[in-house]
This record gives sequence, structure tokens and C-alpha cells, in this order.
Amino acid sequence: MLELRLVQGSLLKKVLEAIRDLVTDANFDCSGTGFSLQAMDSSHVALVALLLRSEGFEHYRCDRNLSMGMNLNNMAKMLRCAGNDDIITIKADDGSDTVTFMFESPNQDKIADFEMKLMDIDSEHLGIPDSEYQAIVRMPSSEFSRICKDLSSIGDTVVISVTKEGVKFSTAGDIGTANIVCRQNKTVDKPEEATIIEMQEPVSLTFALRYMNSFTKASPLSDQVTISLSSELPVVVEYKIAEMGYIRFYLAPKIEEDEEMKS
Amino acid sequence: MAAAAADGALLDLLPQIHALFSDQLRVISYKWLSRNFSVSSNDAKRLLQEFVKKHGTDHQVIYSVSGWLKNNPQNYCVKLTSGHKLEEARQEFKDSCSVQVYSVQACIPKDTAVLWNPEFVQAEELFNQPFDEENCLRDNRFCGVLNSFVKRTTKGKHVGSVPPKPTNIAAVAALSKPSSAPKEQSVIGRQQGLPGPSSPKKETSNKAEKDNIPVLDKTANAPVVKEPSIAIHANKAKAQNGKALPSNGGSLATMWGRASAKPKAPAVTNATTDLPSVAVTADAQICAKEEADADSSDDEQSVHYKRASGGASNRKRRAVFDLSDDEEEDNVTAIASPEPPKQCVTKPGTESSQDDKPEKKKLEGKQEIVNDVKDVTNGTDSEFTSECKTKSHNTINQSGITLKEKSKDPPTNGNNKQDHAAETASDAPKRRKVLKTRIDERGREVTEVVWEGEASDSDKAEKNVTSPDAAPRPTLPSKPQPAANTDRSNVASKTAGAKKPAKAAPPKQGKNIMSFFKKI
Repeated sequence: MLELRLVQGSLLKKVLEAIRDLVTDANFDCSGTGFSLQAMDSSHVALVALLLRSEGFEHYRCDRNLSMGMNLNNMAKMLRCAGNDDIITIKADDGSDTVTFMFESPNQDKIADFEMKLMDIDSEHLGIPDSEYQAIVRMPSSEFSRICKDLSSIGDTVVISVTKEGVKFSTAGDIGTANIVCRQNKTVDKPEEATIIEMQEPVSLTFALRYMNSFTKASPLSDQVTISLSSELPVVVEYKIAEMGYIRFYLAPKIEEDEEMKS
Repeated sequence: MAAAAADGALLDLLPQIHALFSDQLRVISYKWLSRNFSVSSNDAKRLLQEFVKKHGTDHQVIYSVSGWLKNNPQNYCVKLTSGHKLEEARQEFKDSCSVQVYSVQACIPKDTAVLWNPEFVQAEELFNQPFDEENCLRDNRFCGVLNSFVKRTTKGKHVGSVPPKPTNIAAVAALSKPSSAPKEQSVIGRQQGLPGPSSPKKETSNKAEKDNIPVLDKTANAPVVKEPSIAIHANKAKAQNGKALPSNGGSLATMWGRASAKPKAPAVTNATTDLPSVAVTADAQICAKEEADADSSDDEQSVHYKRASGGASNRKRRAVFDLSDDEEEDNVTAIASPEPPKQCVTKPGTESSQDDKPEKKKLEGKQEIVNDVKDVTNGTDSEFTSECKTKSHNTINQSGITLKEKSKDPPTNGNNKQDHAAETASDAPKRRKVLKTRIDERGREVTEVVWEGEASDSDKAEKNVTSPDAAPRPTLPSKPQPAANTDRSNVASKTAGAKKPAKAAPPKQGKNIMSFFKKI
């Protein structure tokens, strides 16, 4: 028996919009600690990890660990039927092959039940170690989103370079090149607009903008985004979900061709 | 100092301060520190002093300088000043003035309200705790000024026991920035998740819920003033929730508190006006997105559908080298109609599938020679069309592109087609008209209408081309491959929407994510 009641139903909608570009089918894992998901995109280049802690739900009941395979597009379709103010309850019975989404309007005058078929999904669960990163950039998520969008109109890939002075996003394409530098900006007046760079050593990595752009779909979830970079590791793009958890995207860096030759 | 021993314990707080300071970008004043960690205000000041010594460079300090002023009617003055103006400020005082750290922060805030906001918020919270709740403001225990004659009752409503200091602050706050202060309250109080303020907060909201909405408004006062919509919203939800789950009310209240705290967060000073709009746009974004998605998903479906049927149908007459088959098919479907083969000329459908395009092109280029050879060997009826056919065939196969439909409907040859016309007609009852554009060997763009049917997929290459179309066909391949190729590449790049990187050696997506993490 599983019953999760989420007062901020819009949050779940936003989560779905954030990941369904990247992943079509995924297993949602429910346990005592929370509601989580880990999935790779079809090319296995990017990975998304979602956690909604049980404390964030108004009511959280999960008798035993449960993994529910869902088609995210279908799930999104159903969630779109919920109003932004609705309270969403996710219910599933043990051994059942369906999950029920219940939407209650804020003043309780409308209650909707949507039952969705579950599917069996073979997925590999990866252990993600906690790593030390050479550089961690925290910046406004809207800013990051804008940068990725702008650069993707010029080129396919973005080079993210972090130095003490700031973080530089650059790209090159048929029509020319673009460089955007964001400087450190610590402001206590508006913490949500701050850009903070914690750097152990300078780092510069190349990524496919296509993925970055789909990561930025999570921007409505958080004012700030944290980008953690290390030369030997996938970048982590993290959006905190207020009081509940996070959504993290991992993306393997691109390798320069000559490097590839060597290796 | 006598407090040397105690300092040991205090110093343990330094990392915490650092974390607060760097992670949350907040102003840490000694008052806030004192209440938050339940240390005396003098200890808190010392702690900050220590902190400043340790992490000297990466933050700004505000000092409070106090003493008698030099000017004539002697006044006792307490002054806040930033680090680099400290000496200047000291000049105004007589010899012995005290200099203490008032607060540390990442930068000097433009709005001074930010300086006292956190402590005001904190004081409010502490005062809003139920009267039987023990906290440091109740008994004034950390105040430097104590009056042993004042008796304090911890139970019951003994308003007189409220120490004067906080009320002053409140008054000041009300005067200078009535709105921003309360707002900040809920933000900070809830966000910090520190033991002191947060648990009391829960208490209050619990109580508020029981007592009803008005009380809640009082306790959480700020939101009501500043952000009516959110507050109302919260209230509504709370009320509703109380109805739905009476047992569970407390946690709900806190949840809503958090919920409203989040949008409020940006509203420290002038951001207030932005806030609603932010929320609105976020929602609007979702709505817009949903719509867009709905559209696009529909599109996708239809595309798939079409493509499938297009793939099944092989009755085309055309000579195409350009491999942009699948886009064309997409376009094609719009005109699909089960009619007898006719001819017409229209403009080319030029959308292209993005990523495999460049590859294809490359491969095509490489295969020029091969094609030529084949051409010769092939040496069938109509010179160039057959060539085209073989060529595109080759490219498809060799590039390893796996779109079956595509390889199944290869460009066909006019002559062949006529040979097979009757046969195909009988084979394929369902057909559709399709526009095909190609670049001929002289670099001219040729558009023709092709009939696609669903029947004869299997008989591949020698397909059914009904008749040559209106566009001029070059009879002599005088300027053979190169021109065609360049032209093609132009088209391709145009259609690919400038997706190709210009770099000679673009970075490759070398590894996949699984090479970084282990399976568990």
C-alpha cells in the first residue's frame, strides 16, 4: 500500500516537465525515505536523479519498497489534468499494476481520480558516489537557462570554464562564436540572484548543449542552480526543490577528438 | 579572559557560522548569533571577532563603535560602521571607545534594513512562541543589563516580562521598513532549519491552526500585508486541510508555511513587486508548455504514423540523391491522397532530420567514386537516373543508417518505372502523391511529384516510377559529382538548421555516463 499526499501538486507537475524531455520511461522508487527516480536518457549520456523526501509530503505511507515503472509522457498527460493549486495524492496497492493519481481542488469541491497503467521497465541503477568537485558554481537558474538557450542558437556544444574571476560559457558554430562570462556576485540583498563560485582549481569542460537545454526545463523548480564540475567526472546540474529534495542531472563531458585518439 | 575555557566550545561554532555565511549569504549579527546558538551576546561578539580574524578577506564586517563623542555637548553614541571606515569613525570619538564586531556578511548590503532583518525576524518568532515555551528572550538571560528585582513568570500571560530591547527593534523596523521586515521573517525563519527558531515556529503554527486563521495571520503577520494572495491561499488551504485531515493539521500548516515562504524569499526589499509576476510567469510557463507539448506530441504522432505508412509504401517515381527522404515524407503526408498517379510540380520539402544528416553527407561524398564505378557497370537505360539510384542506395546502406523505411524506398529510375508501371499499379491500390526534390548533376534543383503506394515495399530498387515529371531533366551528366555534391551540402546545411559545428575536429561525446558510475 502506497499513499503519498502532496499539497503542492504543481511541484510534481514541474518535476515531470523537467525530466520528460530527457527520459521517456522510468521507474519511480518509493521507500521509507522518499519518492525517488533515477534514469538515463536513451543514449546513456545523461542521467537524472530525483528525490522527494518523505517529510515533504503532507502524508506519506509506504508499507514496503515499491518500484513503479511509468511512461513519463503518459504521466505528464495525467498530471496536466491537475490544477496548479490542486493537492495531488499518489496511490498504489501492493501487487497492482496501476497507479492512481487523485487531484483535489483547493476548496475540495472537485476530486478527480486518474488511474494509469504501470509498465515493466528494465533499468540499471547506478551508484553515484559523493565526489569532491574542482569547481562549484551557483547561479540564478533563469540566467543559466537563458545562456544555454542563447548559445544553442549559435553552436552545438558549450565549453564551461571556471576561473577565479568567473565562469565562462562559450560556443562556436557556423555563423560565429559566443562567449558569456558570469562574474562572482555575492549579494545579501537578493540571495537568489547571487552567483557564487567555489573553485579548488580551474576547470574547463565541453558539453552538448542539447542536454543542457533539457536540464534547464527544471528551472521553475528553483531560483538557483548549482553546477559542479570536475575534469574527470560528469557535470552535475542540480536544482533544489524547496524543503523536499532535489533534481540532479549528470552529463558526461565531450572529449576533444585528439584526446580520443590518444586514449 | 575568563571565558577562555568556554571559548573552546564556542569555537566549535565557527564552522557552522562559516556555513551559514557562505551557503545562505546572510547577514550574521551578534544578536542573531546569540539567540540562535543560545550563547551570551558577549560571547557572540567574541565569536564573530574570531571569525573575522580567521577568515579575514572574504567578507565584510560591520563594527559597532561606542563611546563619548568629541563634540561639545557630550553625547554617548553607538555607531555602526563598515570595516574600511572604522578608523574614520573612531576619530569622532574620545580616546576610549569600544569597537566590537556587529555583524559579518558577504558584502555590505545596499539596504541597511537587511542588517537588522534577521534578528528582528528571530525576535518576532521567539516572542510568538507560546508563553510556556522557554526561550532566551523570555527571561532576558543574555542581556547585558539585568535587574534582579524584576520577577518573571514563565507561565501565563505576563506581558510585562517582555524585555524592552526587542520591542525597540520592532518599532524601528516598523518605522523604516514596515513591509520588508516581516516578509524576511518568514523567509529566514523557515529556511534556516536551525534548531532554535524553527521548532518554536512549528509550535506557533500549530496553535494558530487550532485557534483559527486570524490568529495565524497575527503570528505570521507579514505575508498578509505584503502578499495577500499567497497568504489567503495558505489560509484557504489550511482551513480546507483542517477539515480533511484533522489529525494531521500541524504538519500541513508547516508545509504551507514553507510553501509560501519560498515565493516570498526573493522579497527582501524592492523585489516584492517582482514576486507575483515570477510566480505567475512560472505557472504561465507551465501552461504554455503544456499547450506546446500537446501540440508537438500530436505532431509527433502524426509524423510517426505517416512515416510508417510512407515507409511501407514504395511506389515512388523519382530520382533522388539527397537522402533527406524522411523529411520529405513528413511533408509529403500532408498531400497524401489515394488518387491515380498524376504529376505536378511543387516546391521542395526541405525539413531535414538533424543529426544523421552531416554523416550522410560525408558518406555520400566518400562514395562518389564508388558510385561512379557503379554507374558505369550499371550502365542501364537512362544514364543519370540509374546512377542516382545506385548512389543513394549505397550511401544508405553504407552509412549504416537504420531507418528501414528509407532504405526501402530508394530513388527510382524513370525507365524502370515505366517497365513496371502496370505491375505496380495492380500491386498497390493505395497510393499517395509525393513531392520530391533533388539536385541533379548539374546542380539544378528538380522537383517532381511521386506516387507512393503501400503495396510493393519488397521489390526494392527497381521500383515503380510512373513518369518523368515536369522539371527539366538533364540528359547529359556533363558536370557530374562535384557540383551536385556541393549543392547538396548546401541544401543539407540549410535544412539542418545550422546544426553542424564548424570546427574541424568537434568534440565527441566520448563516454557515456555508465563509464563513470558503477551499477548497483
